[in-house]
Amino acid sequence: MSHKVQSDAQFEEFYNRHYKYVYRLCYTYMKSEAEAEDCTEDVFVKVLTGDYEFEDEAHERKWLTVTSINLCKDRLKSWKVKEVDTLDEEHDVAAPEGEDFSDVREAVMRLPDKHKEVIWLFYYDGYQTDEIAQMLDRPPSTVRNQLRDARNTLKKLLEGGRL
Amino acid sequence: MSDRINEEFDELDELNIKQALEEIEPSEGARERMLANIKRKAKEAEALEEAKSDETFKAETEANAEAEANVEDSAVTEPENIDNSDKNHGRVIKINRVIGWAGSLAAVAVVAFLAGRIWQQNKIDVSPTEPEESVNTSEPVEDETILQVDPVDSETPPMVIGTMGGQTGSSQEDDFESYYEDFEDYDTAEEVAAVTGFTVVTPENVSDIYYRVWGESIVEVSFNSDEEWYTLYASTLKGDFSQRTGQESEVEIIDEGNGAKLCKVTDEFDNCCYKISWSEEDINYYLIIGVDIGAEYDKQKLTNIYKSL
Repeated sequence: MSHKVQSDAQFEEFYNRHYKYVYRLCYTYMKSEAEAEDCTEDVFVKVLTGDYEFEDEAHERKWLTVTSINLCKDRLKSWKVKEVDTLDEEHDVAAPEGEDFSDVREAVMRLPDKHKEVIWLFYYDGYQTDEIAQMLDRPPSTVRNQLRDARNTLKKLLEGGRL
Repeated sequence: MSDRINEEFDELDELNIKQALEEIEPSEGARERMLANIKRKAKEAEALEEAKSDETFKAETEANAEAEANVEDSAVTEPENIDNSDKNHGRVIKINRVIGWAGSLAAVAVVAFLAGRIWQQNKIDVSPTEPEESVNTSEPVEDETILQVDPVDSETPPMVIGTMGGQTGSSQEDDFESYYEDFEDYDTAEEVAAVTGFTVVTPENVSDIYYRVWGESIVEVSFNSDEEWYTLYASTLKGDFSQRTGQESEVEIIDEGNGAKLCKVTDEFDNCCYKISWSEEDINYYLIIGVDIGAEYDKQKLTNIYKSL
């Protein structure tokens, strides 16, 4: 049963369900808290002004994922945020007590965009390669190649290599 | 098909990528701050949209009024038609009616077009394709993290990562630098030709064509025909740059003219594919059917694609 996000209450429910996810995804691209918040806001503005129709929560999530990735990439391209190395801000992310995955997170954030998106979709969202191919409108073979490249790049980075 | 490949990638789960990314949390107060900004931005966007549509309406109204005034002016000032005033008056009325009808039709068309656009924009396909701007696969990575690639040695083709599955092998792992990020995606054959200096032709009636250039020297074209994926490699380089190497069987020459050879290739992991290799005008080609592990492929289909090139 498809649904729209129309009333304020519906939107707030929608927002509460997804804002952390969208923020994380945007932060991974923008590498800055302020930019990530700005992009997150713009993604949800699209929902609020667009009168979209979603089938279920999974559909909402897929839509948000692709929209967030596109928005961040466009922003990076047009604002040339890439010229500013904001990686240091990554340390602002508070790591919980116990295990520290900051090196993995930092390595993912340093991946080139085309690797970052397949890593996110495969390892974070848990989509299979065929689903990712469908979402990104690429041949499955290309997605597998990119995933393999990304994995190798990630390994290299974690072994102390530089891009 | 892709289960084994997906399993292969699962290796990285030990790195806890998901946990690492879930540590990214919005700061305190961010939820409320972003929500307030979203509502403000949405109101601004709607106000801007209304202002734009008002301006458009005003401009259209003015343009219509001006056009009608021009028609009437031309009717009044026609100098040579005094004797035929009744006739001309009738013509002016007709012109005005035609303009009126045309205006109505145009208005209906504009409304229909806009409604269609709005409907298209607001409808989310069941299949999760890009809802807004497309994810640009061909966008070159331009940030500072782009990898520097060693120049291609014309005698030693760079590694192209195989698409058959987990057949990258330890030697490629060791020689990681040689193929690491050494490719760029393109949208058209013309863009590819501008990089490589030669044009790769794909068969007619194929779909989903994707172009990739490795090391500015090896063209990889993926396309779909009759629900099968094919990959065509082309380069002036020597050596088997398709990287679909292994035990060759079922070898046959299918074209004496250019020495086109068809064979089945089975690698050390028992992944197999069919491959046709040939040369034309100093360009070496490899045409492959099959990207899936363990699947059976039809060599006749591959031969048909080759013949249609």
